[in-house]
Amino acid sequence: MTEWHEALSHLLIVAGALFFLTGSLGFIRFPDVFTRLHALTKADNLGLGLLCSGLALQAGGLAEAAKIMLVWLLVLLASGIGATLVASTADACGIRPWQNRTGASREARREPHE
Amino acid sequence: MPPTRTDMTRRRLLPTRFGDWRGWAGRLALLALLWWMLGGGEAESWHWGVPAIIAAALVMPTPDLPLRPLAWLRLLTLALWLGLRGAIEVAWLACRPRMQLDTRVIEHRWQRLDDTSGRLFMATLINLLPGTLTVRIDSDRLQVHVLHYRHGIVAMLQRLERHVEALFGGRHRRKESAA
Repeated sequence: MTEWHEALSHLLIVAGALFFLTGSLGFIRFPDVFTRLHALTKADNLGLGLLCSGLALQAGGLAEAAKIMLVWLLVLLASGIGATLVASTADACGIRPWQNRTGASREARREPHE
Repeated sequence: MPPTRTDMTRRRLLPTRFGDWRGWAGRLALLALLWWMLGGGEAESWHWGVPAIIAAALVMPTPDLPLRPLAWLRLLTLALWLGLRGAIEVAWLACRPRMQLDTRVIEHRWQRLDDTSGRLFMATLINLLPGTLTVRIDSDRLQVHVLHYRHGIVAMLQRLERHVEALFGGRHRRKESAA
């Protein structure tokens, strides 16, 4: 592995960890189940993608690198499906999405299709 | 005499048409690729791998997914780009000292997709794109939660539906091919 490979791999891993951190921050700071799901399905997935790419660069062979990327693909699938299931269950249980009550965002938030 | 359940199962399992052979080849190739990844590319692993692949190809359900490499490539490129934007947007919103979210639930009426697998695929994909989350899938529309509303969201959903239609087919595609 060349120095460039190693540097790129470390850069991707650090960037991935930062996205994980922002995803976790969103999970703590966002106000309801729907907004928290955004944090988990977007920032964390990109974080994992960058992390897996960084690790794949350090892999011993092509098959091993492909296996690491397969982990990302499976997590993407699971989180996409899981997010719909959690959100639709919350909706079916009568949990209403949080609405910002200040400033320009005061009116009702159910928008018809344009 | 109407076909029995056994006849129908046998018909599904045994390739009878060219299309079925293509389906079998696709499944075997996909499973072989998976085995190659899981086995780390070792030659000895194929002793167990080949029977396992054939057994899995026999019992796995046949996905009703047409093979359209260009459409897949276009959709994957779009999804990766939008996914990157979505993650950056969420990271930015989560890190801002004063959190300002303009959350809404919008309705996307189905305009092109009319089969269940295409709709489910799009509903799952929406969760990975910038600021959108599927809340409910209805027969005539999709309810989407938006983290921070902006005007391009509706156009993005329509664009996405066109891309998914290119993969799964839909009422517009069928009209075009019938004409």
